[in-house]
Amino acid sequence: MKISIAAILAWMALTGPLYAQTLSKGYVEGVAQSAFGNVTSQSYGVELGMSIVPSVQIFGEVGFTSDTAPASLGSSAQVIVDYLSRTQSNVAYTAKQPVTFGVAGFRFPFATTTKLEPYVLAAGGVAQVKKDVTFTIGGSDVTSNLAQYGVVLGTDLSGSETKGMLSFGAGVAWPVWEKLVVDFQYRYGRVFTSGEGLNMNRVGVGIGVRF
Amino acid sequence: MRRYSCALLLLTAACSSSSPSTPSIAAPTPVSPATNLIVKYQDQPVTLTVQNAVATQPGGTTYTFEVATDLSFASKVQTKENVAEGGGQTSVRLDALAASRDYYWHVRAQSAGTTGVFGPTYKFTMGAAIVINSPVPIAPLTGTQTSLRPAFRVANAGRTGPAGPLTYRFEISNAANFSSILITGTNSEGVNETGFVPATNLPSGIGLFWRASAIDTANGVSSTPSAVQSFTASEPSQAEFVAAQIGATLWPGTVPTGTVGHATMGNDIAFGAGWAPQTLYYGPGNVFFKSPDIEMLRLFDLLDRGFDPVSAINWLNQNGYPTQALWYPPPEKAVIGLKYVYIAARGKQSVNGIWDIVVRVE
Repeated sequence: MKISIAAILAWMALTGPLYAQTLSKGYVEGVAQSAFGNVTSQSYGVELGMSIVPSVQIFGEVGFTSDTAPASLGSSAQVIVDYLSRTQSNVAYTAKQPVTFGVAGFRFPFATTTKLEPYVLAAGGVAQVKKDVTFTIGGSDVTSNLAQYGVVLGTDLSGSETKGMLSFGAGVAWPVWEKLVVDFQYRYGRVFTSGEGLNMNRVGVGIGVRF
Repeated sequence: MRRYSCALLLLTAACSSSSPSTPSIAAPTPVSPATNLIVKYQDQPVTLTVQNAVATQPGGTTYTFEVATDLSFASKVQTKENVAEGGGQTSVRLDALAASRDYYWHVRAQSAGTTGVFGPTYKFTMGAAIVINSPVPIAPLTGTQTSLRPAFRVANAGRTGPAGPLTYRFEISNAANFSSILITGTNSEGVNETGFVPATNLPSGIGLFWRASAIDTANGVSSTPSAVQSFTASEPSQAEFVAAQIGATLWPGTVPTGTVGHATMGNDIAFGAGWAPQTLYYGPGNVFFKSPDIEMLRLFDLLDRGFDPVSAINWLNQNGYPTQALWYPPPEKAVIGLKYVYIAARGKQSVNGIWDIVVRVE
């Protein structure tokens, strides 16, 4: 999987778009996305790009996705809740997995006969994935006191890890007024977290300016 | 741009090494022995059992059992680590624990990099040790010649701790190492001593061995066997045979040495009253008496074992069988005088002779 992703990234980096075009020197935009997978959440970020050749831009993106919890996070938390419920009443949990990430890569715009500017991109970077799980007994947060109930949380339910991330995406930039541009976009991200890894799908819109 | 692409790939690869996440673990729960249980010392080894820990990732869970003599586990007496998880419950067998102490135990689980916390602490109390000493043989002792059904007797075994009622197992063998047992008998403990009489005859004329063990059946504790005694069983002597007829024990205490075959009971009416049990009349005292009595039989048995009459009388007086018997030697008489009778050597032959019972007339 890693090899094939790397091969695609390299191919995209070393080959140019079919059509020559005239592009701005760069752009900056804020993005708001809906992240979906096991759970649906919000994602926010900022993207900045610069043209290095007429058909290739380098860009960087930093963002935050509020929850990417896989099903296993909730099921593991439920195991602990079931144990605590043997001796305690009114036991509950909340489980989220926020991701903060930063990637840099190449964006390849395509010239068209319209104002619309489609593009594809590929990037790599790092992401910090946090296991944000809390346990309550009788409404009180006991997450930091679980040892007194005989529970020790592993890295499957606590802590955070910073791992490599690959991002691929596509979108259509629409210059709506002078330098103002609206970017309809889709992003797929793969974070190489412990175990099964993490897939992030984001669909959203960016609003920015060209310069 | 090629340089940028490669750098990007290297950065991503460097950050992409992946290892499995570690599981969360909830402590195992003690099951047995139940807390505050009193465990019999002899029920060891103690087996500790817990309900398995809860782990968010199955498999590979192992357990650490700790046993201490204090609640804070500062004085651990046993630690069992890396105990593999069982199905539903996990157990470990402890080594022997000292008696008459309280013990505290707890268990934790570990799995794939996560070490859990110890679960609840349970306590059990080890009861006092029961020690039963070996019984001490009384009879027959080594070197003794016995009847075919002798009474095997031991002094009751000493004991410490809360022992229950004892029974004694007697084993009789023709091998010193008891590789083959001829007769086994049990009897409940008597007062001060315990005995056993075989229900069948022992083999005659061969070396035999016996030993006894004390057993506390209720607590499952046994003593080590007593010291092995060797003896030989043989057909009852003439005196033993008659003693059995009158219901007396010929030698309840010290048994004389020697082998029988040196005297014969005279039963010819022409020479005396004979040795068959009967009631005789002593005219001078106008007394009816039982004949033979045990004193007469003991005297005869000693003669039968090769004692001369004087030695026989002396042996009785020196070994707890007091007698007023007097020896009237030849050439005048050759009789042993008792209260109502003489035991007379027929033909005044006292060596390997025939001995008759003659009622005194004076």
